[in-house]
Amino acid sequence: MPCKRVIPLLLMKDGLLKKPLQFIKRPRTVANPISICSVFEGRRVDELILLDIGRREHGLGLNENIIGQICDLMTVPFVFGGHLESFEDAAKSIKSGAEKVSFNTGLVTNPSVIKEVSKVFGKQAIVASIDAKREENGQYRAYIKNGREITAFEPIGLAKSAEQLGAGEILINSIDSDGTMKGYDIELIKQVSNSVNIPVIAAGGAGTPEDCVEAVTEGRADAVAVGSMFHFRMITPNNIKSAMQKAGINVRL
Amino acid sequence: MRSVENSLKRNGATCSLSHEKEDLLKADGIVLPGVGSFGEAVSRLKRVEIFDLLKWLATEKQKPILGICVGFQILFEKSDEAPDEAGLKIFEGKVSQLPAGQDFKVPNIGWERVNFEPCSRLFSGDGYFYFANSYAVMNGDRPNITGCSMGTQKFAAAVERDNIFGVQFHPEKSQDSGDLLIDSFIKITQQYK
Repeated sequence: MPCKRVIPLLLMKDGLLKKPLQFIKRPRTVANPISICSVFEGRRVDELILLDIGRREHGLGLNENIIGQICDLMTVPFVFGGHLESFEDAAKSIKSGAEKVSFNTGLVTNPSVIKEVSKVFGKQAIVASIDAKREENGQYRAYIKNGREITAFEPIGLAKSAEQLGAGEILINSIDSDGTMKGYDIELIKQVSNSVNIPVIAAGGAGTPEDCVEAVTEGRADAVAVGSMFHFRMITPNNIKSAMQKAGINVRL
Repeated sequence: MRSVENSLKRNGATCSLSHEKEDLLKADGIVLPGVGSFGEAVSRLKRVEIFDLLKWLATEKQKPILGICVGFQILFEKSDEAPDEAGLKIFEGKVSQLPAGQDFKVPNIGWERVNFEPCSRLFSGDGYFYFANSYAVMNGDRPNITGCSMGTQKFAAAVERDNIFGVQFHPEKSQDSGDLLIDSFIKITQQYK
């Protein structure tokens, strides 16, 4: 079993890094994507995820320039996503320097694209990003279009179908916990981890290094994605890794 | 691809992305990055007509070659991933599908500590390297394994024989340990000039 990974999850809009609350509330500008990536490179993160959340609203094309610049800065793997709906978008992202591409809306609206990308670039090049929200009846449902549109899928069902389509990893994000820094939705992460045989990255809600430990020990996640805690609290990737190591989790220090 | 080029340049090599015969003949060393599947990688090399040339350069001309990930796997005889497509057969042995299990997820994605044999010319001691693979050369399937993954599934992380080197992980995305390995390979290419 490889080491559990600590991964900054960065959201970009109009060329700036943003951090909203629960996907849509009060997005704050936190940094310039290029400079923050070089900070994370120096802090020995295990990987980096950048999602371009502004493309759809603004009808912008794929920002291959930024992908290339980040690739040139990073000596750890780099995942790019954000409204990738065609094979061409994914292929261009990979050619520009992303090791992996992340699909969210496309999982539901265009599943054949995932199959095709998997066939050409391999499973390890695809992250299926699932955004889930707990409904009033207590059941989880998957959302697409950056949390704006509900789907007919439960996150478990969507994760299983993504695995079958050829995704190599699942990024499971809780819309309710996103940006709150009150801890991951462990129940959601555990449900998804138990339903697939591919690695799972936990996202949404991390506020302390102990939250990350819990996502691994209780949620059975293979990696933890962190946004707000890095942006707004004086916590570094190494703080998280030290806490994990103390808890007996295998990490790359 | 871009990461592999970046890594070679960062460590002082002059490099270019090419599938031209003349470039391969002129180069001091060749890196086979390998993207996608075993079958795709082999058929692409055949399509651009460098499959036989690579084998000749590696075995007859002692040109230093470094295969990475799928580029490492195609150095072997065959793979479960594409039973009808033969590899370069530079190394003996086959590539098998990794068995998923309770404590082992496939694809195998992430950082693992790799322990190198003292005889390795690519790396000394152990270091963390980034893996992303669903197939691997299992230990015991062949000699010349110089590095092993330390995880629950023991498979070949690195194989070396004379001028031919292969690694299952991605040195271009393995931070400082990756740079040390790439630097060693560049130095080796100078010894064969």
